[in-house]
Formats: sequence, structure tokens, C-alpha cells
Amino acid sequence: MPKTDWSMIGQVAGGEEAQAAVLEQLVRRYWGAVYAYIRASGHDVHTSADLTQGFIAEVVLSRGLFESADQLRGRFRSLLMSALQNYLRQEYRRTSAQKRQPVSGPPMSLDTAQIDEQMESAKHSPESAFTAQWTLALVNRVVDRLRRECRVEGLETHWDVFEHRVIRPMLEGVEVLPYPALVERFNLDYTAQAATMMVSIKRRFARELMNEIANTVPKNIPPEDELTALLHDLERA
Amino acid sequence: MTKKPPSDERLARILRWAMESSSQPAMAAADWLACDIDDRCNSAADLLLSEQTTLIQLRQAKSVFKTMRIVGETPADRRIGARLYAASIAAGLVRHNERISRQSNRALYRGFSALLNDRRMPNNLRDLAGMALCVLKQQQPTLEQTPDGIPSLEIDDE
Repeated sequence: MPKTDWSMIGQVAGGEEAQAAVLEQLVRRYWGAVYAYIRASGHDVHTSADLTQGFIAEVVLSRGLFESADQLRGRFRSLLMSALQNYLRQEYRRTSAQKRQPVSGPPMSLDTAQIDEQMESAKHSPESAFTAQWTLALVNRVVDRLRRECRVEGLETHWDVFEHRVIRPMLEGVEVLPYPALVERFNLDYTAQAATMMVSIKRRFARELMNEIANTVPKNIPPEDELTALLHDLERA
Repeated sequence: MTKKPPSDERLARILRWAMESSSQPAMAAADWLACDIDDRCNSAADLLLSEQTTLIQLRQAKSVFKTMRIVGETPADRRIGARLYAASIAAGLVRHNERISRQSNRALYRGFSALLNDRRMPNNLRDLAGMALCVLKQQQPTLEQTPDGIPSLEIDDE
């Protein structure tokens, strides 16, 4: 079972042994949304990467954002965005430019190319850029997990059909592979079989996506509410 | 192949899968199958009722809904698969005056009647079944009705 964001945050706050690894996992999940927000605020690539590192080092690591997070305060997405907005306001007020380096070196290298390309192809407000990257991170986690699960369960062909017919065209913009080609490539009997495989995994994907969204909100907030909020933010962009 | 990052619109579409599937999973699956045949459609009813839908697309719909009827994961999947299988054939009869099935008139009659009487199905698809029944009756006025109160759930296998 994947851990919820809040249970991971609880682990960080609880000072358990795996604290550093859990912290790194959380940072990896969400740095893209942080970077996208900063970039859409008008900063260039280098400054955005620098500020992202600064936020992670100063707010997440040094000031212990996750350790002090309180599940009762609501959605983790809102908490992170609000902390980032405060950080950027403080940065703006700083009079002297300082080289931002975390105490023990950069926490991770930022591969910003895909986000930069996305920023160029769409005019985003900082909030909508954050939401888009947040959503993409959610979707990518479900893709990775479901691909692994399908492999374990002997459903590789199901996954392959779904990937070529649906998920790669959606996420990477590649051409949809026609059913006759899928039937031939994966030695299937007929087109409708491939379509049924596609739908079977798509349904599972949808279920896993809802679970993943549920992981980012406290138990008193229905995941459907967060899903509606995400859709609203994306469609407003 | 060039990789393009997903647009907000595509991300929203992916999120909507979760929304659709959580409210009516079986109908969502049928709608996805229909949209896969013609991406201008939003639902299976859209596909089967549209005047733009070609006979080739109706045959594809018939084939995927027939498979859904047989191998659907849940009873609801199989029921909706059976209804939409009948609706695909009905659309061929009503919209194109073409019979896209080798089923007997009696089997078609049972399938269309089951769709017509299924209140869980969209009204416009039930109306389509009613129109298809009229076409069938015109073709064969002596067609017998199914026993009272026991409409068949499925069209027989071809």
C-alpha cells in the first residue's frame, strides 16, 4: 500500500529512522510544483531553480515544514503553496542577494527541462502552474505504480495496450496506436479484445488516481472534493 | 517521436476519468469504449444516437459492447454491455436501415425489448430501441412478443 502524504509527514515529524529517506521522497514528489509556481511568477530558469532549492533547504529542511504540518489544517497542496508564497514574499523583501545553498549541499538536482517546455506552451498563473505540476506528479505516481502492479499480476499486455492507446498519447503527445497495430504487436485475437483490455486498466487507473488524491487530503475531506478543486484550478488556467 | 508535455486540458481529462469512474463505473467504461471509437463523442449514447456515426463505427461499437457483455468485470458491466450491444444493432436499423447482425428477429426483439424496459438506461437509448422494434415489426408483422413480464436480458450469441 502506498503511504499517504500525511502518514509520511507524520513519519518525518516522529523522527523515525527512515526520516531522511521519507523526507527526500516527499521533496521529490513536490519540487516540480514548487519550481513551476516560481517560474510562472516571472523568474528565469536559473533564479527559479535557485529559489526552489532555497525553499526546500530553508523552509522544508531547516524550518521543518513537514514536521510542523498539522493534518487538521487541511489539504497538503494548500499548505505547501501557502508556505511557498510566504517564502517568496520574504525573499522579495530581502535586500542583499545571497547565494542560496543548503547547509549540507543541494538536496537534489533539478531536471527542469520538461517543466520549462510546459511553461512555454501554456500561459500559467503561478497557482495554475503549481496545480498542473502537482497533478502531473500525482498522475506519474499512478502510472509507475500501476505499471509495476500489472507486471507482477501478469497483465503486461493489458498495460501495454493502455499505455500505447491512452496514457502515452495523453502524457507525451505521441500518436495513438491504432487497434489493428496493437492486435498485431501484442498477438491479440481481435480489436474488441484490445479495447476491453484498455478499458479494464483505465478503470483501475481511475481508481488508483482517486486513492492517490485521497492520500493528499486529511480523512475529513472527501477525495472527490479535492478532485473537483484540482479540476477547477486546471480548467481555469 | 517528439514528446510533448501534457497540457492542462489533457491533465484535466485524466482527472475526469476518476470522477466518471467513481460515480457510474460500468457506464463510464462503456462511454470510454465509445469515445475510443469516435473521439468527438462524450458518451456511448452520443455515439449510438449521432447521425454522423457511420455503419463501420456501429459495427465496431457492436463488437466492443458484445465483448463487454461477455467478459465485463461486474454484473453491471455485462448488463450495460448487453444493452449497448442491442442499441448498436438498433442504431444500424433505425439510422441506416441496415441490419448489422445475423441474429434472428426473435432474438433482436428480445434484446430491443430488454433495452426499452430497462429504466436504468438513458431514455434516448430506450427510445432508439422502441424505434428499432417498430422497424422490426414493419419487416415482420407477425413477430411474436416475449412472454409477459419476463423480458430477455440479452441477445443470443452470434
